[in-house]
Amino acid sequence: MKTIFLYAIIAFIAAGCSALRPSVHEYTILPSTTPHVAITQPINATLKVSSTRSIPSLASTQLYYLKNTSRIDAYLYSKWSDSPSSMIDRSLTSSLQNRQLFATLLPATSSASADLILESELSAFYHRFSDDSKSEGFIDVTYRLIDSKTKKMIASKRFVILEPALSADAKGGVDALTKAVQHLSENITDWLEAVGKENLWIK
Amino acid sequence: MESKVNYTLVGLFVLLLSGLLIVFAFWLGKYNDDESQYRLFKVYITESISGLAPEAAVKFHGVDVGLVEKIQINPRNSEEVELTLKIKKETPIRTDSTATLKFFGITGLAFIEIGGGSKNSPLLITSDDNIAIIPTAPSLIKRLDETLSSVVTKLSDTLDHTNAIMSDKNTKNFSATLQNLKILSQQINSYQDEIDVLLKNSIQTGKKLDETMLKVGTSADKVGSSLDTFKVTMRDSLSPTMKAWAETSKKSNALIEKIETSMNRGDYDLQAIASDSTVELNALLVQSRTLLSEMELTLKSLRESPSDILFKESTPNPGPGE
Repeated sequence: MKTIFLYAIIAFIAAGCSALRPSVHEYTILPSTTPHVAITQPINATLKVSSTRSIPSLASTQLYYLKNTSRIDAYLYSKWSDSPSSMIDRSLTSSLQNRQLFATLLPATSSASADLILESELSAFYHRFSDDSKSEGFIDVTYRLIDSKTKKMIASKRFVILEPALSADAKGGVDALTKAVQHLSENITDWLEAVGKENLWIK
Repeated sequence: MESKVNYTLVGLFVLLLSGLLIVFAFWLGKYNDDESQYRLFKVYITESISGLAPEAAVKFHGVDVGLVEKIQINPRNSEEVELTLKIKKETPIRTDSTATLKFFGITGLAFIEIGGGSKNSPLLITSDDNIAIIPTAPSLIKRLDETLSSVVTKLSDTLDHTNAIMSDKNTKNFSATLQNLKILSQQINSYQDEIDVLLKNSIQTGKKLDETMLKVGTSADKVGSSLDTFKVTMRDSLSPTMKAWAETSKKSNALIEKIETSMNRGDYDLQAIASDSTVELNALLVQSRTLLSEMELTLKSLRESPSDILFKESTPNPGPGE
């Protein structure tokens, strides 16, 4: 009797594990391959790009969409390969390297000390639907440039990027967010160049 | 008989007498005075000038030098009497000269006495158009009046104070004080013997104090010699300890130098040791954040539908286009 009961339990578990579900698509955001023109006189300083901090829900690899401005849900069969913060960091690092804005660029994992630190906080990274069934990629992130020696903030800026989606599904959202991330990286690079000129690092 | 009168002589006599009368009249009226020999001065007096009349004498240090030409109330100040004096030109009236009202004995007739004026002071310039003013000094009567008034006032105050001091209450207190003094004096007399004993004892105590001070001096000498002995003892006994201490210090120095060398070499550089680990730890933390988020989502779905772990009964909402 005991043996029969044990087999029954195993059968239930096997049945649960063997449930069939459609395959999940994983997406990633690759850095832009568009060639950039490097500036002639780079900023003579070392910049470390710190890992972007995000709200807890955006730390996962779920692909979220927003409906009716406040209802949030995740696509069942579409996911990111990495957290949005990691993908933004990768794209920004690539953009800065292409532009050769700083003499030396350090990733967040580097043990070397830097002159400047770029901190950021991600508040939104969603595929957002509006009432008229149109949708867009929506990113809201704030960046701060900090002097590592004095620990004082040099400049700060909030970036809100909206990129229309071509289709009202996960694929359309991924494409829109990919474009938004690329625009974001370009905007941040331009901003850092402007800050460098303001502080007379670039003549 | 008919007398022969020489009318010519009579006429001459009458004419001569008339001429003499006219001369006498002019002399009497002082019309022969030469006005140019006098100068005019003004004096303003605030006290009564009773007894002073026009033509009254003006004296300079007792010498007649002129007369009072005019007396009137000052039209600009009714409290003052304005006197116009006619004084001989050669009289040395100076800027610090003063005019005083004085009287001839007990007759009540008054005159103006000009006094003061040092020889170095400049002369007071006057003219008919701009008559100079001689300052006044109070007369003897006024000074006496003021002094007596002051004395009377002070005397009155003193009497008031005396009355206040000699009040009934103070008189009683004074009587009581005298009574107490009397009692105290009697008591001191009764303690006379005890005071004598106290004085004798004080003399004996003074002698004993001298003896004690001598003993203290002797003891201080002994303490000094004891301190010398103690010093020698401490030097003999502590010397080995101090040597051992110096040896220990030398060894400690050597040890500290070794540690310093090792630290300079970077053997104990915690930052260098930990830096690699810190980087790895940071990366791990980022990944664990993602993992925790995923676990939270899974737990959340299980909490909402626990049977899904076996039967997968719930049907989650598909996203747009799914």
